[in-house]
Amino acid sequence: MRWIKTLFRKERLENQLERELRFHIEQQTEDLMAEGLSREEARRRVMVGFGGREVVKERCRDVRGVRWIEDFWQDLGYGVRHLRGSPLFTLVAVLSLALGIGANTAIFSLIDTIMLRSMPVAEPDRLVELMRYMPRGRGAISYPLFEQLSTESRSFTATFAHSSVDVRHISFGSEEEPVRTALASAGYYSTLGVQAVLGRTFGEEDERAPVAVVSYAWWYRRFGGDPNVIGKAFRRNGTLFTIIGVTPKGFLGPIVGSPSEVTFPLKMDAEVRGEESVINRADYSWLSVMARLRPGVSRGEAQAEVSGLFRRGLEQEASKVELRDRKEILERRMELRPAGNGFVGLSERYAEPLTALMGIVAIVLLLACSNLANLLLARAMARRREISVRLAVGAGKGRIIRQLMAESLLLAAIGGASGIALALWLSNGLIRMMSAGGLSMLFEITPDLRVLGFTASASVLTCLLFGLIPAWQAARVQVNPTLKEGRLGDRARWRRGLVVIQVALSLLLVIGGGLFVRTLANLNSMEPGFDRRGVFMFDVDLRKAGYKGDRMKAMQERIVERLNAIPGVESASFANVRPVSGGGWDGNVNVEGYTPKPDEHAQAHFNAVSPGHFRTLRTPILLGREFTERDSAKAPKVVIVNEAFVKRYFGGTAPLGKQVNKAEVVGVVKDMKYRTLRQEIPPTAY
Amino acid sequence: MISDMDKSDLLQGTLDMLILKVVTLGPIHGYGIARRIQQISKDALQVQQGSLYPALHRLENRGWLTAEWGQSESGREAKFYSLTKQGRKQLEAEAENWDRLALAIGLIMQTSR
Repeated sequence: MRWIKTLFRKERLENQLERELRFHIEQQTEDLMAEGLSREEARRRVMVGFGGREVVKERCRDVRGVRWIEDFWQDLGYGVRHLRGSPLFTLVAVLSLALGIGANTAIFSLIDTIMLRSMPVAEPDRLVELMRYMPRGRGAISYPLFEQLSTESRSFTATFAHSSVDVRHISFGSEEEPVRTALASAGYYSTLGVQAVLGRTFGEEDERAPVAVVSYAWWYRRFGGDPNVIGKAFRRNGTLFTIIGVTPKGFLGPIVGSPSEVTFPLKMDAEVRGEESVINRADYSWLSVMARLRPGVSRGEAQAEVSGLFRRGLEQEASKVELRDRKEILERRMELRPAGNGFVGLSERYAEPLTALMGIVAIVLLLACSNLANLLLARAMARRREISVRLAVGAGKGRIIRQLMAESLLLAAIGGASGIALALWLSNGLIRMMSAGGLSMLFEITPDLRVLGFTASASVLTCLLFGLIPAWQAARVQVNPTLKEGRLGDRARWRRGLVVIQVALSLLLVIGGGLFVRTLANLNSMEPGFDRRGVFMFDVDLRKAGYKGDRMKAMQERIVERLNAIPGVESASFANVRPVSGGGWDGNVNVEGYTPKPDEHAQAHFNAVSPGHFRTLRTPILLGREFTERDSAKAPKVVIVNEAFVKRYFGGTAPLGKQVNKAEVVGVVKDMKYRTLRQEIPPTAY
Repeated sequence: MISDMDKSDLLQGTLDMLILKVVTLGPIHGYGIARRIQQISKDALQVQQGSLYPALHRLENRGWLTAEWGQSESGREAKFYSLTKQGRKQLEAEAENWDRLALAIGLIMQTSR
């Protein structure tokens, strides 16, 4: 610990050293004068004997043992001055470092959260998701199918089904409040091995009880972490539900990016959703299913078993339908996928853009490193003169190397700090970017420390390495002049190589970045088929307020009327399915003059809209007319179709006047995005 | 006469040993140490300040010497060094070493004569 003390007593030590030497000089001078010399002569002899007071002092300082720390501070101070002296170099180096570290950390944190990180549950690697595939894509699972599979399969220790997370309203008193809710079957918590941090979770015994388990985040936000939340009851759809437990902090549910705040037992679907309940319908697929493999059972074995069970059900189903529908049914299959990260929905959707992003930021990191290397090399070249001068006046080689290292370290530190700041900022920006388009994502993304460590050390190492090489060479150059020419040649070649690499990488980055930005731009500004400017959309649920049938229609009309009456509202309309809301309604169509092929389902998406809908959205009417007040329930049934519908079902023939599901086509509108912006525009009938 | 006793002239550590030995006689300042070495060696050894003070500071830093400020014979303020327990041990070890080395060197020199 002596050296710490020494470090802090520096000033006193300097003072003492000076006094000690002065005493020596004075005493010796006096002694020499006593021998008969004049004061001047005595003084001269003493000073000659000393051989340079500063040299003596310097050597005394050397033995203090804290020399390197003092030097380090001095080096840092010198480095700061030097960097300030060349702000452009500093700016470029720091930016390059910050970008490399920041972008990598942000992207990788995101990838980790969405695709790689396991749920905080017991043995996540034993979890599999049961995925149902139809010829045309992936489908969810109906409750009866889940029941069948979970009771008949022998490969799993436990299974559960989980609904999507939807915003629903609950009330603790008179006030209704929106919460993100989900329904999960009795095995949910036991399959995952998630224990409540407060109260308990639900299981077999209370799967038909009006209970709910809430998330830690919501408990904290809504109740401030009050432990008395257990036993509190709220009303949902007229049923009183009791909160029985709070899940752990890190547990965000099985759907990545969409945590539920209140989870109900699946069998309470009728109470939670009222008339919309579909729990008993085999034709309604709405659940995601996860299972825990029995010890000793591999995923392949489990898949074989589940496929067999599924196939049996399919054959039964197929035997009930017409021949031409059978093939479609029999082509369905079941697959098991590792589900330790949660259900695959989100990771599937974003895997591509994220991997692309990762590739790009990896290149950015490479580029940052090569940039830095190049900058440092160029700088060392420029400083060769300075270094030679310092060597010539007696600076130690080690000392010069250390000094250049201190400068590199300083750069690395500044760059690293900026990188961390950038990582935080970018993570948030990315989430916002990904959630554009109506998809709300709730994440807990914090820049991953391991990634930060990796990128930061990569950059710092680059800094040190390429700070060291030129320093080393510069220090060597003086010692052996013959080496000088050869060294320089080497270095020049090396530098030229770096420039080539850098240019190549830059090009790659520009191209890759450009493509990616275009993809993003496509997503963000995709032609939605309506004029987004000034359009304001909202949902009204009249059924919940007790409106039904004719009264509901009347109410709807009144709402539109009242909205139209507001000054500043150009026009208002309602639709059953709000555009790009994520919801949908589809069914079979019967189109005049169109015979479906044997294995084809003539299907279309539907929407019911009020008069003025297309005017409100400024969707161009290409043919015919828009709905008017006269197209009421009593008037002849009319329908408007979109371009995609015409293309698919009418081919080249004129659509106006044709019959679609016993309604007359009166208009054709431009294609409008239906469910989400990403989907192809389906044939749509209004 | 060995006039300029520098670290290149004297075996490394020999100066340290001499200093430690001189300091055993009681607290003494740097100038005093130089003079005493010169006197005892009958002017054969002259320690230059450029070697003396770094050596003193090194020994102090290793904890073999401690230093205190006091009055010199001439009434001036001076830094007096004295031996620590550790320093005494070190001196014993070094003296022993030195004896062996001197004996060994003496034997070699005698046989070759």
